[in-house]
Amino acid sequence: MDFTELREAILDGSAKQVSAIVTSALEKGELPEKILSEGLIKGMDEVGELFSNNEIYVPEVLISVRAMKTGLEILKPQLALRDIKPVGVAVIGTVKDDLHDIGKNLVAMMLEGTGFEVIDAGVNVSAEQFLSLAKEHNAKIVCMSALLTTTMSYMKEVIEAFKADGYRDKVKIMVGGAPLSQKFADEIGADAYTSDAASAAKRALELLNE
Amino acid sequence: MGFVPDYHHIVDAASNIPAKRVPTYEHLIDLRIMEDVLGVRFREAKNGSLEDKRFYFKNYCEFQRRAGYDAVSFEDCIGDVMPGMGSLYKHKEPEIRNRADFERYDWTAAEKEYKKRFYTDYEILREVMPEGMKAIGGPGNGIFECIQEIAGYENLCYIKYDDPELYADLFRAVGNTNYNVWKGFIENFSDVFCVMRFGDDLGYKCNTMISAEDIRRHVVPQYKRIVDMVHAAGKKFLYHSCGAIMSVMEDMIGTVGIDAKHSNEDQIAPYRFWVETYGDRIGNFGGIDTDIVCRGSEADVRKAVEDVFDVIDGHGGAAVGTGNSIPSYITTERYLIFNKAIREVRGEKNVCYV
Ligand code: B12
Repeated sequence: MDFTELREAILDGSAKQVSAIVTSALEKGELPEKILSEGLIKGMDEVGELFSNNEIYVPEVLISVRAMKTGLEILKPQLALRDIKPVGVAVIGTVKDDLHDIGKNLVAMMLEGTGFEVIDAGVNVSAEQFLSLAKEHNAKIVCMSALLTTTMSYMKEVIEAFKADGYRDKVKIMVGGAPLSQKFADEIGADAYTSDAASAAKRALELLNE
Repeated sequence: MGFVPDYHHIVDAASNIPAKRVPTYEHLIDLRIMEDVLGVRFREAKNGSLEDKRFYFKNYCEFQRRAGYDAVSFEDCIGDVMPGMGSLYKHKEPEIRNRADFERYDWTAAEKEYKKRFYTDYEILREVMPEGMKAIGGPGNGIFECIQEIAGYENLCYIKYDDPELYADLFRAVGNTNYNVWKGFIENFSDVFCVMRFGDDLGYKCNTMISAEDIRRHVVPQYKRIVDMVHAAGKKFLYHSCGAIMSVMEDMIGTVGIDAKHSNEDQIAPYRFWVETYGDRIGNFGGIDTDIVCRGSEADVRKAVEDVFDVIDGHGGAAVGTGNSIPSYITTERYLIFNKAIREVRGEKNVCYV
């Protein structure tokens, strides 16, 4: 089966169409993991690419994500039956004392769109919370978002807390947010920084294999 | 003898004329810093009796005079009086999700509440305004921030696709509310303000928060109605918006008719970019990234200030301060290093805070 139509439905953000196409593909005996990777995830890839190039805006990404999730919900039971797992678990949160969450939410959504299971810790998240969630869910990726100059310094504390606990090697740590830069990420010893949500999801996938 | 303010300098800057003494400017300064500098605690007094309020505004203005500002930066925000607000600042569930919510919403409440809650502030501000100063500001929050207060950002994005008519109606209805608040404000308090302003963050790190096309269609006409009124009252308009809003700057300058713009972040574009790109047409307020004031060394701060003065040299109107604000996480000590640097570089001798 050709998944062009499904990818286009995702680009259009049409949850209805996505749901119809996914349902009919399953009925026709298409493998759920194939619908997921060739349709939903590839569709989100294209959305991410357009967003990274500033060709579409946040609202368009949000509705594409919503459409993708509709499809994913239909696929989930089938995937479970066939024992297909998410590519990995990512814990994400906006760091302590910071309440900005629009960018963080977007990164979380793009991670889901790439096949991750995402544990969203919300805003104002402490080092202890990041650490305990990462352990509890056996996360491979930890994503921190900060939009304030002061709160970005807290990211270093989180990394130190992972080190102190002997858990630093078990996870890859990604950071992002408006005032951040690659230079800052290097200084605090993060594994990766990206400037937007779509490249964040891509990078997270790469990190799994590093 | 301390600093002698003269609000004409900031009017010059907003008129894109190089001021005789470059004014220093902040959109917001955390009250704790003002209290530290004055050695007086007054933050709670704003919501007290008339006498309390007087005490509040006297100190509020006195701080700005001592810190070398020519105008008192002040706003009371429209978003705060919108029924069911809280989705922008407080992560509240959106008040308006669909047509029924929209129809039920009391669209005249905000303008009434604005008068009731805030007019005395402006009256007292008038009464205690230090000699040589006027205020800069007015009703805070533009249309986009007000909409987000009641509809939430993500929810607004969904509305755009699920009910485009409702999306358009939201901008119109909130546009009317803002227009009415501004109308009343201008009729009553034009004399208190030398430059009028609202802040409406349309941008983020990489782009505008909604499409440039949507901004042109739904936001620009609403801004224009207000800015036309400001101009009819003989005042200049300063526009504050964070983020990468380059794609709509021509609309802001050409169609809305803003006279000056504030806010810049180095991660997006340095102050130099704003001055060199738009400085022939509008005044540029701001300059130094908040991050430098917060984390830089004393030498970094000094250097950043000197760079900004180099940039504005021969480039029309400018008022110098942070690209955003002096938030609570900047210490008083750091603020004073920064403030002193600006004042010294612009040529003030014996900077002091009395
Ligand atoms: C909207 C906004 C708010 C809203 C937040 C609403 C919400 N629910 O999130 C409100 C009004 C509440 C707010 C409050 C404040 N804000 Co504010 N805010 C903004 C604004 C305008 C946009 C942020 C946004 O939502 N962007 C949209 C998203 C999509 O972009 P993003 O967050 O950058 O995320 C993208 C990338 O950075 C990246 N990314 C994000 N997270 C992550 C994580 C990882 C792991 C990766 C890889 C990538 C990544 O991917 C995203 C999508 O591509 C910015 C301006 C700006 N330049 O960003 C100021 C800004 C962040 N705010 C600022 C300030 C000062 C404040 C306040 C202190 C204001 C005040 N004086 O009270 C308060 C602080 C409240 C608090 N304790 O957190 C300053 C910070 C300055 C600084 N360097 O410290 C900014 C930069 C404005 C400026 N011009 O200086 N703010």
